[in-house]
Amino acid sequence: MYIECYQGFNDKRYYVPAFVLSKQLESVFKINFLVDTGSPTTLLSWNEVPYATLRTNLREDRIYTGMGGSFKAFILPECSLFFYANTGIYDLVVGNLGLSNYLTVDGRLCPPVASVLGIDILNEFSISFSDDLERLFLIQSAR
Amino acid sequence: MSHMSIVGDDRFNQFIDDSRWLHKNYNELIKEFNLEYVAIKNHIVVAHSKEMNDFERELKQLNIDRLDVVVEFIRDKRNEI
Repeated sequence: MYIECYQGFNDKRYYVPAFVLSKQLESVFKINFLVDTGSPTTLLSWNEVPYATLRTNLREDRIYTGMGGSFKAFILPECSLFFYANTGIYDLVVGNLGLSNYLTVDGRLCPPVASVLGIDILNEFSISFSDDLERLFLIQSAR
Repeated sequence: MSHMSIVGDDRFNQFIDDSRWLHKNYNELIKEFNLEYVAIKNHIVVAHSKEMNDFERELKQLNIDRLDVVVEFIRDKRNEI
């Protein structure tokens, strides 16, 4: 089974479309994740999730640090990711996911950046590239 | 909540198709919508705004379900790390 990721024309990085479902919150989000082996954690970016539709009692997660500064994240509980694989829709239960706050810990606005599919989930797959390097494949030999 | 009704084949295919179109046409979109939120459906920008609150309001006014569009904040990604 493999999931195809496509290359951004503007930045040459690889993205994978996925639906994120938080069972507890009964919320579904549509995210183009940046495939990021340099990120230890999968994280949803504030600018890709409509805060207005979320319940406001989300628990806070730990502090994350990136080049844009440090920020706290909220916890989206009981999440599953749905990818489109060559065999059809592939669901992966991932548990809690972080959702970045739109403010850094010192009160500045976080820049809008991509949500990242980090190594915590990428470890479930092996990775290969097409010969022309325009596509990246997340491959899983057996469940 | 029925997962398959929300995350069905048709919705997924449209999501993938519009995402590919978005990335293929990103540099053109930067010329017109730089630093704006855009919503894309069937290869057409159906809503756009510089502020997220305004953007959400516009989607609501146009009766657009966020799960039927691809949403992206347009910016020059070459400067991101």
